[in-house]
Amino acid sequence: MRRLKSFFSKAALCCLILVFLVCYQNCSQFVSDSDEISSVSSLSSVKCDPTDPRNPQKTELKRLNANELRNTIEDLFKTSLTTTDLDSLLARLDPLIAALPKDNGLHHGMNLTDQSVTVDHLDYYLKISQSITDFLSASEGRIGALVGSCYAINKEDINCKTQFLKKFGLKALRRPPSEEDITFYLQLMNDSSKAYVDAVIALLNSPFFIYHIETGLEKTKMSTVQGDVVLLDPYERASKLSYFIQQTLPDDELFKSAESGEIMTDLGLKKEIKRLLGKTETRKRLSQFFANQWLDLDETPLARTDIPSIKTLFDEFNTSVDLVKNRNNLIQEVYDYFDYIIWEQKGSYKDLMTSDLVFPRTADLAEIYNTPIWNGKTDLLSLVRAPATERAGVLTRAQNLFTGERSTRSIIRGVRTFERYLCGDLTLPDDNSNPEGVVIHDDMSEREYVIAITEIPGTSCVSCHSSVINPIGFTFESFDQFGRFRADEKIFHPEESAQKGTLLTSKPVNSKTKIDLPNMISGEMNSAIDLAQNLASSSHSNACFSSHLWNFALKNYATMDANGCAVASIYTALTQQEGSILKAIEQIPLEPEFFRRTSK
Amino acid sequence: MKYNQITRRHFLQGIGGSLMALPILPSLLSREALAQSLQSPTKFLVLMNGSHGGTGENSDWYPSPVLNNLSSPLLTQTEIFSLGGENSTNHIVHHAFLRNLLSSHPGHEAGDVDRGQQRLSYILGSFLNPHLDKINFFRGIDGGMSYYGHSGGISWGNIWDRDENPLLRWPKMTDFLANSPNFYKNKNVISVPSVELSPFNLASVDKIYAALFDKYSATASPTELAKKERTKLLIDRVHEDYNRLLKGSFGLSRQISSEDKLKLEQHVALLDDVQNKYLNFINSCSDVLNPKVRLNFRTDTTAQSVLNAEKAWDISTDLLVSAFQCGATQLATLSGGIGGNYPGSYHQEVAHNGGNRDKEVVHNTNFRWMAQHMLGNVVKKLSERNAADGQSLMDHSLVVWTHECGYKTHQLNSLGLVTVGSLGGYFKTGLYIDYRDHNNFGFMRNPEDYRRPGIPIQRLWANIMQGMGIQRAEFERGGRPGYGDTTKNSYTKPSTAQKFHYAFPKRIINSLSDKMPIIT
Repeated sequence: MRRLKSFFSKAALCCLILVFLVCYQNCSQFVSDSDEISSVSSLSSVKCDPTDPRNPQKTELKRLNANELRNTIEDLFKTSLTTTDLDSLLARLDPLIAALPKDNGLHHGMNLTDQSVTVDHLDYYLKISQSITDFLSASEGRIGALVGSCYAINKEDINCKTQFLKKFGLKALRRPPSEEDITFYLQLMNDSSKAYVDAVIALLNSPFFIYHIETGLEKTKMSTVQGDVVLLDPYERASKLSYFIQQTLPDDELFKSAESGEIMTDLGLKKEIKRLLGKTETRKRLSQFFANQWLDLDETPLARTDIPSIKTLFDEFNTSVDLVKNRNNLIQEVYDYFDYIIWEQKGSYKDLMTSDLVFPRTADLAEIYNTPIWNGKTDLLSLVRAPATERAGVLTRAQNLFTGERSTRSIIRGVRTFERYLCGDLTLPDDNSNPEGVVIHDDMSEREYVIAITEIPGTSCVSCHSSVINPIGFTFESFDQFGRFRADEKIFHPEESAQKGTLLTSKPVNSKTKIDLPNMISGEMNSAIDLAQNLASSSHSNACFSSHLWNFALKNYATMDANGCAVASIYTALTQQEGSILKAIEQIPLEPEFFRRTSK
Repeated sequence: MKYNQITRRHFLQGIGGSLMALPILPSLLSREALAQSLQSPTKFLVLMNGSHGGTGENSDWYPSPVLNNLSSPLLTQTEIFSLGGENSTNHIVHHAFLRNLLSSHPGHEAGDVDRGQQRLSYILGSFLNPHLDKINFFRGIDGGMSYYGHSGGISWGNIWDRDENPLLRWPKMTDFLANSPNFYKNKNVISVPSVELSPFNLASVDKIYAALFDKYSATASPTELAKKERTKLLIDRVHEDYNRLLKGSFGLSRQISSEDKLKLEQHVALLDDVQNKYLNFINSCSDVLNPKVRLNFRTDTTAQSVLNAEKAWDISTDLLVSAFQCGATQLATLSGGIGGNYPGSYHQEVAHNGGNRDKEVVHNTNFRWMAQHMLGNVVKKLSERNAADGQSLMDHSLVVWTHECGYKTHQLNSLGLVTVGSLGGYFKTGLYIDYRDHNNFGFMRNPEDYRRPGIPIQRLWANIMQGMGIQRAEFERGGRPGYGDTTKNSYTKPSTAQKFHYAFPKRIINSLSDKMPIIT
């Protein structure tokens, strides 16, 4: 037995300490007496007030995020390049796009809410556009295909240049270029020996390309909204819809709908929503990017095989596992899961949270799930189900459980679940230092250890950990650091000891907890399966998911009760009989706030 | 005078810092390449003169909290001499951190573009705020206690460069350094030992480019230069594109909101940095792009000539800083102003009318322009570029703005004087220092504050020379301490016939090569 202080002084355990020293405070708000109002919005607070003017929340001018930028470039050039050329172009652009400053979400992942613009953004926008034009310039045929037939006949002809600006400009600016635009870009082309190349660079750096410029309809045409709120014009509407559903610029039909004004009508709008959601080639962008944003998949860790105990566990795999590929496989499985639940099954939030389907495309994942490899098809015979009572929905995805390090990170698992699935918000205490007087043993289980350091009576940590974080986090203890189901926990010798990397002892896992979060979830949980099922049937959790969808669509962070009418409508579409995530998605653009904007 | 509407450069200088955290540009320089061309430690000196005339003791120049000098609780008192002797008093000076002296300094109604903002003064406006910790603002530096007439040389280290005694000249400090065997280690690398940017010497941008960079043209890569020029053109066009939107000229009968406009203005400001990043990427002096503009520093009564002069200074300062960065030179003098913009005889009607408030306003508007477009510009650009060791060029530099404006025209005592930079750590910075001896009126007949003896400017010059690496034995003459002529810094009580002459205490005269009090 050793004092915690001396235990922590071992440098070899620094990474472990960082994981454990997460102590939260002030959770009485979540578990207070039932007559005390929770600070987390309950479902009742997202109901729609009939007098709500349906004004949107203030949003700043949005730029294309990295995902939108890549998709937009791909769609700008896909019709003029061969598939091989397009792949080559994207391959050379991907490192540049990856080098853009990383977006940092303000809340719960959702890094698309980061709208900062730095000199590095502008630098890479320029580099990306120059890389594109370098690629195009390498072959006259590529430029010619982009410009059109007139290029080969007389590329210096002003009509050819004008025609190009109108065609390419419509897509790049996402609105028809005005006469003044044409004059401006023609002047640039006439001044340049590389007219078309320079025009492409200029257009790809234009404010209308980089930003989602929304000036709204002319005031005289706005009859229903007042003050600083603007109603988006047809082309802005088309862009907003397209960047929500397709994560890219409008396609030709959507542009036509904007040109005709059809998109301004309810009928026209619904028709376009239906059509876009039916496009198999683009709809995955929506579900996958939503999953990425909601679950913060970019933060998926790599296995720390430099830690001896992890190396030992990793070596247990029968398949040879590439660490980088393994991380990608974990993420891909989440994408496949979302694709299937949302688009194939047309499932609900409950389905997303409770399905026992798994989608291991590779041997390493199949081993984690203890299932056969999935063949990529979605017929009933091809679908793969996890062993009975082992998996339930998104919570038990290997990606969500994977820590790749000595700890199963039950604290992080608890915090993340509380924040993502219940929209809870936890506060780190000012003093997050080691509690005094803690006694630990080398042979403590994860659960025993976490309780020992976070549930000491009288400390600032205890309220959140004992009532919220630990009861949620411990339900995941039936999964190891790699997301494998387990009955026993393997406890290794300390990493600084001579016997590091070897087994000290094993203990049966204890994933049973009691959760009592009024208005959210309550009851005894045997494991994460129970937790998932409770969340799936929790109206609060469904409402939380609805608000995530809304925030994702608007690229804005708002609390659950902001835009209450819109979130309530989405909630209804999600939870009503025959309700589904797809129907909730369909509902989003129909909410009045969606096509309104205020920057004030 | 008129000011442009906000431009990307003004935006950065004025309000950009408070609106967004602009990231610091990474080092733009190939350090290996630079290290080969520059000796270490490398130091840069920029001397800037002030326009002839009287800024005086008025409120446009000094920070409000210390305008009426000694009573401010913000000032710390420090004794710098305690020898007694003549007058038998100790010499107490007052000083404060500049950042504590910001105020919404009153200025003129007309043309006061940052009126109401926190600033040191009308002349030393808010554009200098980002550099406060690098500035020293002196009061009580004495060119001499005598009447000197037109002493243009006060800015260069040659106090006798004046109309009464044209032959009694000492070398400018920059010339002294340029000719010293102990300054430039390899004169083959440099193109101009000391650059003189002025309406009377290198009056135009193309001449400056030619003087600084023609030497290297034979080794320039046409491909690389063409690529740079093309990138510059493209960024310029992108900039124009954003300006079209900001001006609402997209043919739409509606406009973007003020909040969106602000974000796009930030974007425009960042474009400037991107352009600088490309244009200022210098592996060698042959990489510096010829701006190919025919602009000069002269001004006349047209507003356009002032705007052209602003642009000329802007581009020329870029060239000068590039020259520092690539090793083409390490020394420069700047002189100019917008006196030519005055519709009359600036010399007689403005410069010689110190004490006449209306004329001082004209004069101080000129000073304000110089502070912003000459001093401020060079400081900003030196701060943005890195030297071979990764520090900014500003960290290796000293920029000195001296003028002959004491309390009135031609009176060289109790000068207000600005320096920027620590000269590689030789000077402490960020201070307001009032060197006037508040216990001593010397032999003055009229006990007015501005006639209290302070520190002779020759001591500051001697410190600059030592900061540049020149030993006192090399610059002292005739056994007299200090840099430059000190023969008129008498400590003998003047006769009644010497109408304007006053004297320094001996202890001050004997210490003219010693380290400056407070700042070293």
